[in-house]
Amino acid sequence: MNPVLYDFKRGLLRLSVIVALSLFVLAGVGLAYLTSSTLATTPGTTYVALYSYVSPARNQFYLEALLLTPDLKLTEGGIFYELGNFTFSKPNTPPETTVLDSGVVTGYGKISVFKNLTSPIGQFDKQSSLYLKVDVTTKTGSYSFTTSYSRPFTLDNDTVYVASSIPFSPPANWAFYCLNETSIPIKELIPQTRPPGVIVLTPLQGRTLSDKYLDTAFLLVSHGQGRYELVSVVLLLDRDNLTYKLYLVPNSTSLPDKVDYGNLASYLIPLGEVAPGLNLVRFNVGNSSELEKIVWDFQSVTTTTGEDIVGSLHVLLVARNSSCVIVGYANPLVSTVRSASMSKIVAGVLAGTVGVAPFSMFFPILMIYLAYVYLAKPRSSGSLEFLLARPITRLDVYVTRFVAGVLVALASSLLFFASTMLTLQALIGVYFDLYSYLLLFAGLAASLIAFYSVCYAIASSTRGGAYIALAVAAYLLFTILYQIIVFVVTQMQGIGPDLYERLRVNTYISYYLSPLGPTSFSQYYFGIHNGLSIEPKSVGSVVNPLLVVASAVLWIVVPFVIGWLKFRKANLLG
Amino acid sequence: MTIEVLNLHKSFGRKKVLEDVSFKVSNGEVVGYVGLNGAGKTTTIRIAVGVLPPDSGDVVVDGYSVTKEKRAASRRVGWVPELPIFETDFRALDYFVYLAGYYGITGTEARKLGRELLEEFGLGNALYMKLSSYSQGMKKRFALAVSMINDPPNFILDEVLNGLDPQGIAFFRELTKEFRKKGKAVLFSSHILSEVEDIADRVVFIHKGRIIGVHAMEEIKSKASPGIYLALSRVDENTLRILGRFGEPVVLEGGRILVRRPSGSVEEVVAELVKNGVGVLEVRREERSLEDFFFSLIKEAESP
Repeated sequence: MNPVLYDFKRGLLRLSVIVALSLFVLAGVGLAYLTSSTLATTPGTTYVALYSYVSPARNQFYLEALLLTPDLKLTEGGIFYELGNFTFSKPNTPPETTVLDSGVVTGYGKISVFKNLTSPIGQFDKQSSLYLKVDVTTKTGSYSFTTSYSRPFTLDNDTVYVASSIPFSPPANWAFYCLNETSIPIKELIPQTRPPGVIVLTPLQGRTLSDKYLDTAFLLVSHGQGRYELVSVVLLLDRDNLTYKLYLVPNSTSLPDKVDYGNLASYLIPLGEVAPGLNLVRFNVGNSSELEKIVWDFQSVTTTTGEDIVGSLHVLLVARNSSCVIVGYANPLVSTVRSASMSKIVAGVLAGTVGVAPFSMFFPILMIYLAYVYLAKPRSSGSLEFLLARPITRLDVYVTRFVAGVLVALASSLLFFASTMLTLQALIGVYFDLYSYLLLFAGLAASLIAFYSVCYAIASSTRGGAYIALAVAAYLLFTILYQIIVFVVTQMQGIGPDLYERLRVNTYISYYLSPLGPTSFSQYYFGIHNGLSIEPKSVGSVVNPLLVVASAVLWIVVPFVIGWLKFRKANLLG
Repeated sequence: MTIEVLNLHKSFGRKKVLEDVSFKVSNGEVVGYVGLNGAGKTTTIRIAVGVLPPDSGDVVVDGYSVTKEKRAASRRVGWVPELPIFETDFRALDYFVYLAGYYGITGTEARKLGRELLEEFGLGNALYMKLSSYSQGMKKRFALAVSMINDPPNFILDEVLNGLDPQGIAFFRELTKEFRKKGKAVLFSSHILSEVEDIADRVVFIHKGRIIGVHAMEEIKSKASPGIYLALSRVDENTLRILGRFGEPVVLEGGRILVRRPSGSVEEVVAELVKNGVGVLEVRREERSLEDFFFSLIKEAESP
């Protein structure tokens, strides 16, 4: 085996290094969990589609919810709910609150709870109002709201009161028809001139049905690079308990006037099935040109956060019962959701103070150990001499062991981010583009290599105890003392309203003067790449990519060369 | 197959350790390198094997400069240090394989060679022992096995008999003789002259960093053997013939005669000379050991 690889393997397969690398992997997993738990306790970074009904006659309560990430994927979590009654007994006094029931329901995706209440619900009148208070916590965030039961609906020969909350989208009006014939008059359903999405002026009046309860949202999830997915959240309550097929009417001039029930899929775009209760129907649109085929009145509007799609859909819900073909029609406006928003939130956590930063602060300790194992210890014991009697030069020994340490640093960084990436994906389904991880990886790897180079230089000119003392001093200087020095210098420049901004600017300037600076710079660029503005704008004026690279290279090369100048003439006998 | 030490100078701080040290070891020759502890033997050897850079001067192994052509020079010399120090967290065979990598021998081949050589040098049952648990003798055998990876034409054995049991001493003595038979150039250092008596062809003496003498072993032996010193009334062929019956007469400066390796007593020699009409003006018998010879060299070197 090539001695470099052998040294690398030997360096890697030491128990202490294996333990350290395992710690890196665990740290990566830990970082993902830390990110996940930070997200879970961050308000407003999750969604829930929820409906509930109460039956005053039967004294029953039902709640059903879909737990969703900001990019509308199902996620794991739980809901704390409180069902209660506001009673306005006296004017100008706060209402009296009576809690009828409360509880927690947890699970993945769709969760539900049904209860026969012990306390009577009472009557719905002007003096009282039944409310549902909900606290949702998922892997991606938390969310709280209160809603009230106001809409009566006949379900299973019983009048229930319904409360629903579907995220994100303006409500769509649905009109349902019971058609005696099997052909569906598409063109009659879709009037050519009317404001989209607001009101449906149905030409089929007289044949409408009112035995359905619908609350829907049609959301276009942008996955970037022109790729879109249509996510439909549909709450359907149906007295007949039918399962419907959801169709999209394409924006096409070749649509026939009528389409036979059995032939709908030839002309319309089937999205999926919709059963009573909450439904999540996903449809991969593909690229933006295909988007224009399904979004009517299509417009693409550039906003500060990206491209927003403006337009509406024509959607049909179709089912058949014993007497007729039932067709529901709506013309909802679409809303754009950027899947990147989720990764942006995660990016914010990763680049923030609870993210990579605390981990990268402790990783250099491994580099102190590696330089000790590869150079300081054999140099102190005198064992390098026996090695040097082989057909190699001092420079070979010096370079070989440096390269071996560099390879361990690269492997450690790679393991750390690979485990972070995989765990994040497993935990909250978020992954970043390769460039993001390359940035973080390059930053951490460059920092570790630069710090290794500093330790290696110390090891080349000192022995045993002196090495440990100096290396630890260097570590403390670059991790803790530097921050204090920067703070003191900034304060000496004067205390004013711009103190924080100056502190950040000075901190970034100090990163050039530290071997551990590349990690911070990579976090800065990672933040920018993921659309975060975590630093004051003036920081941008002192962060120059060329200087960042030059500083990292110098922090690696200069200690390496100084170390060599010491090592080339050093007496290697313990 | 030569080791040429050329005008070596080395200082550690202000202390001069080597001053203009030069000598040569030729093929098929075992050269003893003798000096007191701290004389500069090990420093010379560390420079010769390329692990310590000299302040000036050079060591040339088979025509390759240790300072300028280190790789080529190191390929041609094996080294067994007085106290071999290894990276002790290795197991013996693994370290052998690791070091063999520097000779371009890798993987299975290195492992096979390692087994063979370690077994050959009596470490067959310690292949997987950690080097930290090796005894001093085992470490020297291991260093020898490593030095034999490419069977180099030159060997430097530094105080190799120190701390060894009689079996170990015999092993290294026989090995050195075998190296000579194979035509290798061997530099064998010791601080005890008698250690190299049966092995060395020549001895280079070093004291306080300077070479104080280079002598053939035969010459040393003869100089170190007992003798009868005589001052006679006349020195002629007849006188020498008479003395020749008692040993090896050598005419010294000033007409004095030394009879080396005398077979008779002083009284017998004097009686025979007188009987033949040769007047004996002065007579004394001197007994000298190898170490006496060594110390006399030191004394000469230190005298102003």
